[in-house]
Amino acid sequence: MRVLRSRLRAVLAAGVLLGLLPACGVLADDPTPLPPAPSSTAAPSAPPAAAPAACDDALQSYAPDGPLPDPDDLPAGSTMAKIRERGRLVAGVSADTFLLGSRNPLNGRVEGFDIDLVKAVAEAIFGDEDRYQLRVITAADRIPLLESGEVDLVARNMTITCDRWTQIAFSSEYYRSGQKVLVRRGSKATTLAQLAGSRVCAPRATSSLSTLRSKAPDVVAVESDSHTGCLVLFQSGQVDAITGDDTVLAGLAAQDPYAVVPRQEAFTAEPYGLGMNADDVDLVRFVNARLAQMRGNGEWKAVYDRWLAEPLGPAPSPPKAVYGRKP
Amino acid sequence: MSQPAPSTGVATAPIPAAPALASPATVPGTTPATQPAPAAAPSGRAPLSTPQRLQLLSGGMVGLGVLVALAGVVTFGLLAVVLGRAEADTEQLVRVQSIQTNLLSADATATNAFLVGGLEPAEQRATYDEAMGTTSGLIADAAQAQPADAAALAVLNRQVLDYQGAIEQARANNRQGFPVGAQYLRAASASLRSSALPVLDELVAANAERAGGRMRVGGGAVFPVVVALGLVGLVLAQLWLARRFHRRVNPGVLAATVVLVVALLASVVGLVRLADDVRGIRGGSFADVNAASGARIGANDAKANESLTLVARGSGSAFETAWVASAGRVEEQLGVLDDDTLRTSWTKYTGTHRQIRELDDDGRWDDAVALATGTGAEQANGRFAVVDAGLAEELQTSGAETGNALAGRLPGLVTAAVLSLLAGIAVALLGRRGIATRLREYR
Repeated sequence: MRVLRSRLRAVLAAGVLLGLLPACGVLADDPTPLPPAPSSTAAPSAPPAAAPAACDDALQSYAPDGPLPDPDDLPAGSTMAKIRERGRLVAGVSADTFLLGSRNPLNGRVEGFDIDLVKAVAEAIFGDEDRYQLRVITAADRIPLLESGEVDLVARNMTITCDRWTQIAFSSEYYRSGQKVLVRRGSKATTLAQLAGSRVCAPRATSSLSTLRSKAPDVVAVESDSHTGCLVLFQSGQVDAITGDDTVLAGLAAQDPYAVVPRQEAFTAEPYGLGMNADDVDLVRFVNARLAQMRGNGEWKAVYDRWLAEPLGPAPSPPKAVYGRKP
Repeated sequence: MSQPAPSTGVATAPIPAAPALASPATVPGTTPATQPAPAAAPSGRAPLSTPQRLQLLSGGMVGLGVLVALAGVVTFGLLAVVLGRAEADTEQLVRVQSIQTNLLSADATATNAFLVGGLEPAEQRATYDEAMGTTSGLIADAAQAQPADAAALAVLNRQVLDYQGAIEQARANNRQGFPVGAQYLRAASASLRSSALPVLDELVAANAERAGGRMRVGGGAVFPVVVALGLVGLVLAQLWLARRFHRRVNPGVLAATVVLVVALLASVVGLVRLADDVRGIRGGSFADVNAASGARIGANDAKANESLTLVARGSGSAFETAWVASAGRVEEQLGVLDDDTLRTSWTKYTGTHRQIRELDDDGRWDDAVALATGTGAEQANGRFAVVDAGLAEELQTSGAETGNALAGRLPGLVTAAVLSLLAGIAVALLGRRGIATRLREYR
């Protein structure tokens, strides 16, 4: 009987254990899974395989048709007349390139050297410099938006190149910039060569990035959406230096006392032009006439003084217009 | 109970001269119906005598009683615990969804304030701070409430810290008039969406699955099955007793049978009703919890995207696409909630959003911004506040309703556990007593 009982007890105990077994399954929770980590933003980029088109007349633009017409007397059927009919000039600009085109956080307006040029063109078409609409675009957006006709012109520190002439049209040169490097205060490097092995940031789809890749293959090139994006990476220690046009770098250095543009020779010449659709030759001629007017009457110098005189020194003479291109 | 000699049922108890043969010799005294011993037990053991069988049966009765009691306590106790956990899971679900809502609402506020330009309005700053403060508190609560979420919450906490750091940098730069502030804001907003929200999505999914998985009572069927098997055993015992002792019924075993029949019927009815109730909760208030929080998350995401569309100023089509996707999510969930007030307030907000888009597409960016950042009753922020408050209230009430409904099942389950314990004890006592009357005949 004792044995029977002990057997019974064993069976009961087993039964209890069996009964509790599913309980553990029901009450235990698997740890919440984690999503796969997103890739780092400051990943070094691989160079794209592209052979840029070459030419020796990049700066050549379409000559103006005589003096600038009166806003009320635009040639019928011209691109300018169509813009006037629409009621506003649509311009693709940067909103984060300090001094050239950036949103002023204090009043919410986009302002800068490039924006003043947009105003000048708007004034020539409408007689009112406020009849413009800004579309904030990235450097990579510039050509696609011009080609699709979504913007009338691009005023976004855009370098005139032979390669780009195959896709769009440029005004005459309105500013001569040059590519330099921005480094951390205390750094000894003043050239790209001295930055070999460091991480250097440049915005995607810019001539700065292609120059960085071709002139300094030893440097780890890091892409960002914009130069301001580069500054964020620089401030968070993810890159050691930024390369770009001196105008842009001056704007970045003005926002960060630990970022300096050391004395150096610019290692490229970056002629800026206003970009337009390749088919809007009449608009290019019109804009060139307006730019010629600005060079002559001191407006150009006034605009330069307003934005660039403080960081870059007194105004040089405006770049000379080169014409002679045939559509 | 007397112990008649050493047991013969076990081979280890050596009995002289009783190798593998019949055992009547060991039975002291009285007569009735000697079971013709099987010629040779295959195991080589001696077959049991009737009193031994009776004793075994008596033990079986006790065992059955214990089994029924145990099955009842374990089954109903477990059901109560599991439904309690479902309630806790629902609370956790509401908690992690509210973390998500608070983060998105903070982001919507930050981007909206940025859009205004100039110094951030004190009121919006306070709203942002409040939302971030609530978020931190909720993350701590959530980690304590569900250890399985702790690892994911630790990752989330880090991302929230990064986000907050980036927003502070955006503010500091903004105050000095530096455009890099806008870049920090955009980067913060983007990383919130690319790294923090996926973690929250996992948390929401895991807790919804846990809560939903526990709102099932199928496991409760174990008790009626055990009871039914017990009933079969009792009927067989009754039949054996009737044959062996030529009596119609054994009153003790009959009483035990009646107890089990009642237990079976009561448990089946009770479990079916419980299953109905729980299904009702799952499809009712719990579904509303999911819908309301899904709608609220979608609505806040849409609002933040509306601001980002304007911040991007003409290049915001990606954000508008995101707005449309979020708005679709909101409408889907509003369909589940089926609440006219909520639907009306949402429709009013989407109307305002359309106006904003029209203004911006027309080149009237300043007017679009004024409409998007205005807090008047007819403007975007005012309209959105109505939507958000309505959804928050819906979430609050349906969450509480789910919790109460689940908690309301507990007293019934505890009662069932106690009753089945009593039923088990009754079966053991009655059964044993019934067998004991037969056993007494052998003394």
